[in-house]
Amino acid sequence: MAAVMGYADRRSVRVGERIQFKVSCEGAPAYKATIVRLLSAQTFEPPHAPKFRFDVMPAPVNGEHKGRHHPIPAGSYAEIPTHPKLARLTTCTFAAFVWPTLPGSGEQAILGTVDGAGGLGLHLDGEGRLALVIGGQHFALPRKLRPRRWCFVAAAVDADSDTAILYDREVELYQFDALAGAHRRFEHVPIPAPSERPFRIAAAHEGARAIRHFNGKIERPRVLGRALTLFDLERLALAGPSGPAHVDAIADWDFSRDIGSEIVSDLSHNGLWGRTVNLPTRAVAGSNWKAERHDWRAVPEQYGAIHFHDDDIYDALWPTAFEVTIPAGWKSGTYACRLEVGDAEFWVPFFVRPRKGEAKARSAFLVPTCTYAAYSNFRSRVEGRWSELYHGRVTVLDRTDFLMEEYPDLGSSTYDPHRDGSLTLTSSMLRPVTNFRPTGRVYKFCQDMFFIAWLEHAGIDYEVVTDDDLHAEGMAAIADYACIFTGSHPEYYTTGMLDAVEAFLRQGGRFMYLGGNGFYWRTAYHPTLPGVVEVRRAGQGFLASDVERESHMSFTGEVAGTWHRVGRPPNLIAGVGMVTQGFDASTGYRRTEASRDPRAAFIFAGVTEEVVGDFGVLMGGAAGYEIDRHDVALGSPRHSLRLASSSNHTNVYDISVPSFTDLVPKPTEAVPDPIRADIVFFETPGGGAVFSVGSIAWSGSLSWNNYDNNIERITRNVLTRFIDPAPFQMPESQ
Amino acid sequence: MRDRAGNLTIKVDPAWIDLAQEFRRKPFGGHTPALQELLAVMRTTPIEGRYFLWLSKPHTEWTLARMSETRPLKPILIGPTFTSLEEAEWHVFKLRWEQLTGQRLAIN
Repeated sequence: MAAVMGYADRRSVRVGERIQFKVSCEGAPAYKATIVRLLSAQTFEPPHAPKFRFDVMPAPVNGEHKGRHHPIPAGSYAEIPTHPKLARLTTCTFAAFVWPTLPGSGEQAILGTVDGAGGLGLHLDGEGRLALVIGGQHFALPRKLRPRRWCFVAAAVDADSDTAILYDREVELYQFDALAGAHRRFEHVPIPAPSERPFRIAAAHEGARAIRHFNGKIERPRVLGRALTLFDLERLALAGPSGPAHVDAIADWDFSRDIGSEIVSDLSHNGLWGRTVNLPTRAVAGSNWKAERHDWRAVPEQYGAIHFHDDDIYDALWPTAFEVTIPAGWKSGTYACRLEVGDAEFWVPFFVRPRKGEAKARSAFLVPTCTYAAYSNFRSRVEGRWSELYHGRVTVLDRTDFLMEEYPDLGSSTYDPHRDGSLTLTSSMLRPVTNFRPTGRVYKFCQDMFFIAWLEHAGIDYEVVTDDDLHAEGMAAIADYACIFTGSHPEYYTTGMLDAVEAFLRQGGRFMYLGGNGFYWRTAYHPTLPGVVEVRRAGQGFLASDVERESHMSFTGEVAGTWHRVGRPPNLIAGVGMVTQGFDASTGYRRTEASRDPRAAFIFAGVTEEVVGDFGVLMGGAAGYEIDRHDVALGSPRHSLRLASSSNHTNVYDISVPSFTDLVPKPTEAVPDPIRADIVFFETPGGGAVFSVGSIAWSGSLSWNNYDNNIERITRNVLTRFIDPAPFQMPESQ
Repeated sequence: MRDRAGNLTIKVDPAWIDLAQEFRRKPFGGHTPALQELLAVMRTTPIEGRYFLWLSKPHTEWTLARMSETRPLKPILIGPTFTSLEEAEWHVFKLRWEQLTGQRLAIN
């Protein structure tokens, strides 16, 4: 069956700038590309939902393109450029500390230059035994390495005597079970032939490809210029992974340096520096971790390991199929490159901003691209055992969802385990993303198109800004607008993004939080690499046993976890914070007495109903999916008005209340806190204001009854006032 | 319920017709604790071989499907096709009831 997939080099592009598209096509000689401006998504039907609409843009790239298949080079490793010192190794020792996660699951390279029958390497063979690989021959110890146990491994090759010693010894701290080890001397070992291949850590070569990826951690790999004796090897094992360069070092890579980067530092005098490929996980606990600190910046020597995975993927590195320079006449908004072959299609959305300094609209839609990235290729929705339980309904999937099964190298989201069971901590947009599209499940981008459809229907002048822009430019990205409004689920926020929104508010900006579960997880963009985010789920130990000791971001060093855990709850900026989730049914909100406060009169102008939003295409109401509650104890401003609250949420919402810490919840347990979504309004000291709805499902009610309903009216009332320059006044009594 | 190893901790009794009737009346939304517990059992089977709905026409038509028994997972379309998610949910409930109790549900 023919398939086409693609991605772009960026999500946000200004008028006059260029965006490049990378496309792979399989099973057909050609595919069709069309650049469109999206005006809505493919969701439900009128009269309660907008029809699927887009305008075909006059782009020269529209039309047939020759199809070429490109693989996705998944799997992380480190590579050191070819150097004579590493190319002509004869008598030498390879050594490292390793923590294998999948020993016995195919041959895995620890370090070396092995390429087919050439090269020299220290590997785990297919059985999980330490093996010296020379000229295609394997010399293996009899013992299989045990999974998730730190082990010092080494091979000392003596070219003068044609012998080699293989050595492994477990070096686990804090464990009472016996430490295993093995060593053996091999005779008639061939002399290694020179290799022009780059030296690799955690992968071998197959031509230009990387294969035999190592799964697990590697720490302090070294190449030494003599054949160490058994006694030397024993000393090296017991000396641990930290300390200065070995006296015999040809190369001595110390992963505790430059943790926040792709750089692999060499402590030897040879300067054999390298770089990591496909973002293996750094800032992970090493064999010498002492349970004193969780911050790798304080004790980098205890975080000198890198966790490699054979399914890590940062950049698919496909060649550019075509590029588009955004012409002057294109309006700021949501666009996509639609790729079609046979009856298959694939969408690559992108967002167009005005030229710098040429913003004209009073309001801007803040597209939650950081959240899109964290969720990109959300594999657990297809493969996960618990997804149906939490959603309270049978899972609905389509052909695009199954591309992740057909092409496993597409990788995972930050919700999914790696193949070795460790949690995925980084997620990239530089690969085809199956759940970033205006079709399929009405969630995230597809759902956010309800806002675009509403803006277009209402004739409201708007422009778009993405999270990527907000993080990169700070408040300057939104300073030209009187009001910014969010998507349905701006869950992932970096410090820079939160600071920018706060600064905007302090200077009189107006902020409409039109979603649920927002500002929830601290997130990090990579300081130099585009299109990738990091999330570490500290405080949620069920997801992986290492979340606490590895609870600082590798990209930034910041303490990780929810913004609540970090000490800056979402209530501070939004007036509400996440309570729970449930996807089976939504409800409406009942107005409170506070909604009669004159400060809120503009919000409810023309609204006669006591209950609002008891309708909608997202499970029947505006309050649902993931919901947030007003709570002064958690930082909701004391002067904030709780205008309306939902109630009577189903018991699927009960399940998630104690957070997600029980994989098998007990739905009959008493729920400690009121489960409700709150509509909240408050003013800020600089003349600004915040309006929050605390519910993902809000957007699904806008178009109800051909946009004639109280949710649309409330949203429009607030936006109309929020773009009015008249400053808001803080109430006198607080 | 299931324990962390995925083993059932309750036995589904074919006499619990009242729970089936409750689900038939309202497949989505608030359920009694007993029905919620039964649904938790039904909705946490191993993903291999599990029923799901194939979106055969965008948000208007769904076809009953099963995951393959082995990974990588493949969709196996088995039908029937539904134009109502409530009907699809009820159909899957009946199939799972029969799997768990060994008896076909006597109500439609």
